[in-house]
Amino acid sequence: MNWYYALGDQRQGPIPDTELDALIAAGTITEDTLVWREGMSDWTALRIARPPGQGAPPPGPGQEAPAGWIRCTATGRYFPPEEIVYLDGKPYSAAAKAGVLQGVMQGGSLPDEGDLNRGGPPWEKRQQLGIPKAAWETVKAVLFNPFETFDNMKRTGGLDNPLLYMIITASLGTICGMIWNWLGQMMFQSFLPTNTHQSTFAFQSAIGGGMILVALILAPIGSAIAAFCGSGILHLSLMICGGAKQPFETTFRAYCYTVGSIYTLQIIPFQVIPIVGPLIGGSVVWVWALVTKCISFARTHEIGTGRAVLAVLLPSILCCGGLIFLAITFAGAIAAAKGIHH
Amino acid sequence: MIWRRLRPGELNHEAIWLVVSVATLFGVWLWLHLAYPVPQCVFHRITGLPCPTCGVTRCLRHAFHGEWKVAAAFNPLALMGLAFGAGYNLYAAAVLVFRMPRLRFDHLSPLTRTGIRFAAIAVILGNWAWLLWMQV
Repeated sequence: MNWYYALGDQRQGPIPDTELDALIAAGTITEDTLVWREGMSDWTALRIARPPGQGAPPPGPGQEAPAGWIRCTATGRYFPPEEIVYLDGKPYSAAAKAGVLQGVMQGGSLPDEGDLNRGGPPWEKRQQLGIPKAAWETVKAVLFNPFETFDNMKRTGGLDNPLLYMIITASLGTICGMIWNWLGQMMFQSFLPTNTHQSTFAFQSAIGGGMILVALILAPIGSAIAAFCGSGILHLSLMICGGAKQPFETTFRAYCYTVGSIYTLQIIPFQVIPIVGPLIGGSVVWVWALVTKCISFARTHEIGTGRAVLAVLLPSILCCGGLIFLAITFAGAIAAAKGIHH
Repeated sequence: MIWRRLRPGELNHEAIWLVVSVATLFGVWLWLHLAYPVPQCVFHRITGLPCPTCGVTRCLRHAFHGEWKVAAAFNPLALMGLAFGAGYNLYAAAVLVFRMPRLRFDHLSPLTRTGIRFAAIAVILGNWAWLLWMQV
């Protein structure tokens, strides 16, 4: 938001925060200078309009931080030297005091760069948004805007929020997937000659319905166990690849929000589209999951994309030669596409 | 490596992994006991050679029956993992029941971390070499 300031009798501006900070650092304007910006009812002294201790935001492209000011490790904002203290050799501002204390108390370590600016995803604000809206916003954010979502995801803050999200979304996805699968099978049966399918139709209907009822009970338990096992394997994989720059808690949080969101794609009834439906649906979900997982771990652990991709693929490489399977799948798809053209 | 009390808000890894591993082990046992289908290895089917995790199911099956030597022959790393899991669960149960301090590796030097990483890679590759030699 841009500022106007009074210099003598002249109104100056508008200028962005970074330029205002530069003017303060240069001594051109002081705490008593009258300033105004959109939303304020009247011109006010700078010290009231923008109390000290808030610092300046990181400069944008082509901009420079105020001269002599120091970047707070936790908030990423810039502060004058007198508002900075050094802990373990790193600069921290007074504005980061609460977060620094919490980090030391909980994890025994000081918060890293920008940690205190992370507030997402929307699921963590479900008290204000309500559960359905928070879940929907999180699914949308993870699937369609993963870079920004995982840049802003809180890396600490407990396991309960992401676990609850995973249990709800994965259970819903699993049960929907089973229903679509069951309906798909029933539809397929109905295409068979009458004497072939009539004897088994009622039996399969009953079995399918029963399995869905069992899944209603088992899916939440299975989702919870899968969340821990999956994130545990991925954290080990990240450690082997040298990419575990954050604790297990971060991996768990990223894993639950990613996999939980991917599970919601099973709500789409791919299985009821004859023959190609399950194949297309499965491929879309698989590739989407892979890409989102890579982005989530690269952004939350702040590692290179290549390392994140290697960590995500490592369990598949080790187990059953997953990459060979992938290569064959793609080779088959290319061959099939060529066959269609010729 | 130090023994210390949990800090406020710190994850209780012992409780988490004890519950998760016991639940997983029960699930695996139930799956095998009910003779549900086990996934087939694509790598083995295509190349005729075992992948690094081939033999895990057979290893677990024999380990559940107390046939340790046969289990080790099918996949030594899986048996080591099972033994480590059992040891960790005993430790976890002990520290939870007796409210003892926890074992933590708070400050590992980068050199130690790198050493552990390469040791892990060497163990995985060594295990795979064994599986290839044994034609599991």
